[in-house]
Amino acid sequence: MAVERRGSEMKSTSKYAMLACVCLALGFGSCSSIPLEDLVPPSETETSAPAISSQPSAPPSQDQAPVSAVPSQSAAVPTTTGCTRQTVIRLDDGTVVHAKCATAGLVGTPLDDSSASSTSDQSSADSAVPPFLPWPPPRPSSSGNVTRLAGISADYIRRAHATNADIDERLSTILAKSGYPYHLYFTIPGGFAVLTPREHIASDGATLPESSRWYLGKETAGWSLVDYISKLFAGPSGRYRMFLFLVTSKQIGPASFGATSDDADRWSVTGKYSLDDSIEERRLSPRTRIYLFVYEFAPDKVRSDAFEQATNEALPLSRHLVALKF
Amino acid sequence: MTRGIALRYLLGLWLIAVAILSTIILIQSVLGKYGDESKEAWAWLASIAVPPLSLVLTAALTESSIGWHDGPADKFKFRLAFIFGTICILAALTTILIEPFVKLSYFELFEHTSLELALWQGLSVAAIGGVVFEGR
Repeated sequence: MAVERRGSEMKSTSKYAMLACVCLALGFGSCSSIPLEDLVPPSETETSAPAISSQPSAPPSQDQAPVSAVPSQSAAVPTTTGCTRQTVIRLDDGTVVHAKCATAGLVGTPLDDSSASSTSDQSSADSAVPPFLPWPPPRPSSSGNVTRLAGISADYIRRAHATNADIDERLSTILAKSGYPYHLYFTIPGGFAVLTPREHIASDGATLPESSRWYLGKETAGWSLVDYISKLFAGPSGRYRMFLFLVTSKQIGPASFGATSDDADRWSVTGKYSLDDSIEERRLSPRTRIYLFVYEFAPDKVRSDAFEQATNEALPLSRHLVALKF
Repeated sequence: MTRGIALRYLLGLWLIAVAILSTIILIQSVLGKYGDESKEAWAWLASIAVPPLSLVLTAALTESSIGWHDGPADKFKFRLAFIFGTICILAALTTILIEPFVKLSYFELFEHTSLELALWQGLSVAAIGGVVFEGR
């Protein structure tokens, strides 16, 4: 009986292996839409997942190898990114990418090693800081290098004991002073990202009073005739903002596409309130910089609960920096 | 009241209504109220106003049998057509004018009110038909 059962398991395994081979023969792009967990029995998925999670024992530096286009190994992992299912592929150089996310548009997303390794374990994946998706980040309304403005000097970065936790402390202090009740963390290649919640801002980028700062609904007309006429004939008014700090040692640039309301909603529910210890303890690379991406949104004209990114009428970065008290 | 006069009243009602509604939507479109989606607003207006207006216009522009215009109009049918038409027009006008006070966007309001407006529009068209086709 045991021999028969083993025989049927082998047949099943070989069937899955054949499917995987056909999939690979068809090409990486077409294969990426099929999570490997559909191809490999659960027991095999469990054993293959740790294979991609080899994590250095010593605190690693943030320098990592560039992304290669040659996939060498893939495995399905539980997601922490808001995607329902996704396939992670380890490239020849050790870089891990999302081959396909079940939710649309998140294809070919590089991940930090730390996030990839943490996703290999179901229990740790639940608490791991998720990767920022999509990557590279959508085109911001304005952006800049704010390393010096944040009070981070080259000497500070070169100090042997300076870690991500030090940068996090600086940013958290700045954001707390600017009145942000919380911020969210993500992992990115070569570091981490900090995202502020979407806030309602004045037309010049200034911070609004608390009563209206966090109200994201449609602005209705008051009992003033002028207000009513302007709201009757002009489009929905209001300006909204999200700050995204990217702390990384990698060269980064924005994607060609802009952020959508769905992106912002997804970021708001997938980010974590604190960094993992493993990320916090990581030493800074001499090339570590802090980039600020500002996403400005205007109310969507069609959906009252949606926003569209403001690009043409976006404020310059200097206006936003005032709000951060830089 | 003769049938000719009744027809003129109904024609006047719908022409004035369409003029007011389309003027508001035109100004809103020019000022960017609807962004790139102004055709949605025009489509909403057309779906409300075109069937009754075209029916009344057709009746007014086509030749009828001799003496039809001078014959007495059925007062009940005329009142019905006028009241249903007025309700339909007021509902459409209210939809546009109330938007600044509500949390919904224009397009969500159009979606929510389309069924109700279709009901009044159907009743209105039926009553207009009763007036303009009777004895023709």
